[in-house]
Amino acid sequence: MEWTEVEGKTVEEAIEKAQQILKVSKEGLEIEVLSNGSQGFLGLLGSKKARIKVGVIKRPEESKKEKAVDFLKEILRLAKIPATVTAKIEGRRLMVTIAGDGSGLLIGRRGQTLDALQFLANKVVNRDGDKIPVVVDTENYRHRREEKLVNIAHRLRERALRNRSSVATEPLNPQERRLIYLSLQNNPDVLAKSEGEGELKRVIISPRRQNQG
Amino acid sequence: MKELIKHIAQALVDKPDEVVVTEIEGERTSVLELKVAKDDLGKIIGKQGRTARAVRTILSAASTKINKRAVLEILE
Repeated sequence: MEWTEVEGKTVEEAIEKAQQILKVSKEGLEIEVLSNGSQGFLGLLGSKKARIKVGVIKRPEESKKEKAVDFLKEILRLAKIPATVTAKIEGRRLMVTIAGDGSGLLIGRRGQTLDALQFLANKVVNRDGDKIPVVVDTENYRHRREEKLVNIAHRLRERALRNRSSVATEPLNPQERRLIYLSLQNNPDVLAKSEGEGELKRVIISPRRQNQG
Repeated sequence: MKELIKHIAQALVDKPDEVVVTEIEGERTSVLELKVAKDDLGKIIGKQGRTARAVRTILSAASTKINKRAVLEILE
């Protein structure tokens, strides 16, 4: 923590000053009184100013943000991948963006490199304190993938209905499967369920035989 | 590559001082041996080996960039 020393006639005045200088409320300050000060005789003789030492208490999300950025930056530096890392807190999530050379190296096959970076960042950041989800993105991959999955869901639904048989997606991770379910939830003509074991499962989309039963 | 594995491992464990990585360089393939404190082994491997898998994924992305192959061995 960075410390600043502030003086005032009284400790209260010094705290007020500190709040103005550092632009934070009293709750956001860690305060240590160095000297209480004294009024002196009739406020004239031997008066001593009060001195305090203050530091700004970092919000846990802020320090988690720094941790995530430092961790990923160092990985990229050691892997000799030129890239910049930025992060911002959005609601309850920490959104980390890596801007690389656009080669797709950071994304990997079906996003597996990006998912690995995200998984490890989550581990490292949430080792202590409240857990906050960390999302790692590059080249807007997360959004593009989301659009693609919604697209796939609808295409497979059409195919299932046309062929009157079940169709399967490629193996997907839980977030990806969730998107398939969400995009089909308003389509009672098909039934979706997951099949497989482990992290990656396929979603099977089958036509519901409502007219024949 | 050695430093990369060391950095990731140290960020995951409770005893970063006990992380040791040795690199056995081959012509095309390198083997990286990772040793951590006994109590930290689970942190490196993770539930169903997920953490270890993520570390390996990053390692292969990094070695692809320099046209090499690297294998990570976690020593018990």
